[in-house]
Amino acid sequence: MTTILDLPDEIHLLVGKQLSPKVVYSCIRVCRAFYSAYIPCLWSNIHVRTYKGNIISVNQLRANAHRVETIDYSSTLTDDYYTIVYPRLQAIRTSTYFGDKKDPNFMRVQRHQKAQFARLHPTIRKLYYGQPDGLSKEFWEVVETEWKELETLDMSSVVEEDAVDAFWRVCDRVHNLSLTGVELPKDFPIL
Amino acid sequence: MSAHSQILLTSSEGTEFIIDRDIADKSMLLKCMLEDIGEIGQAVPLPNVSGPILTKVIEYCTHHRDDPNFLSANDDVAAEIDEWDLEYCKVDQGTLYELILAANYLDIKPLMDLTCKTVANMIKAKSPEEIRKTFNITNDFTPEEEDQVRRENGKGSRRLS
Repeated sequence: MTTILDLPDEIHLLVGKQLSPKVVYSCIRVCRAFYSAYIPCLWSNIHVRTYKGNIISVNQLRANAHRVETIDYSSTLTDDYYTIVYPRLQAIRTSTYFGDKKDPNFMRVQRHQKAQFARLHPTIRKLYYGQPDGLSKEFWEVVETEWKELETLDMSSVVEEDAVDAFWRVCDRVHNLSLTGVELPKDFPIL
Repeated sequence: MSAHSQILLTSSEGTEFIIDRDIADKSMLLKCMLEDIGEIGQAVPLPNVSGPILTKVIEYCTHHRDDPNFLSANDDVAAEIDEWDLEYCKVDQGTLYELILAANYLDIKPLMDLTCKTVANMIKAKSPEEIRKTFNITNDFTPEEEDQVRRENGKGSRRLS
């Protein structure tokens, strides 16, 4: 008789899409075959943030980094989260939560670290940046030269004066652009 | 080409099935093939699908024959399965998996979605041990491996706890 273990992984992926992360976590502990079939569902799209004192640890992320395709980084992450390399990363979203402001780590990632993160992730196709601290000139220059596949840019943040030129050149290149919450420096030359 | 023309299929055992063209067109595999090579009047062999499973697949396609939303019907993950579909999926596990494999091979997306959703509903809200019982699976992890899976994936993360 055909059993569930005879189904190819692509079908388990379709099943996994219908399950909550909690249930997928049950699936990967069932047996080795289920582990390999369901683990992509658990890590392909993840949200990293502090919630009630819990967060996905840097070690867990490193162990599964090769499975991550879409990631949401909240504003309370520390520099070490920006040292992880996700070789297949397609999309990154950064976000801010009200509760985060009480966290001692709120908005404390070094600017250079974000640029370094950008340098390590040339596979990114979509960037949604929604944290209030602006990205450095260095960051935008990396995006401009290294992110060959970038197609979507959704910015809602500050663009600093010295970064404007590089930022503008990036905007010029992407197919889907949304700048709804962007604050530009005063006297910014509107083209 | 008439919409009412008929197609001859043969299952893996060599049993012949005559179905209307519009039923065959529910399968993207058959639709593309018939569009490419035309109706040559010869039987289309389906060596991966047994007679009983093909009967079941034809039953599904016939029931949804005039369904205008056939291709988008099950896109909504949260949508309830309708009553006929629910009854249709009340089969033994072996049949269910063979239906999935047939739907995959014949490329009938709504039947794929329905059968995968049925499997998901069998897994939902279960612990690893309950999943093993449901599907008759033996745990082949060593205790060290189990530890590692927990360490790399469990706790520490709200979504998993």
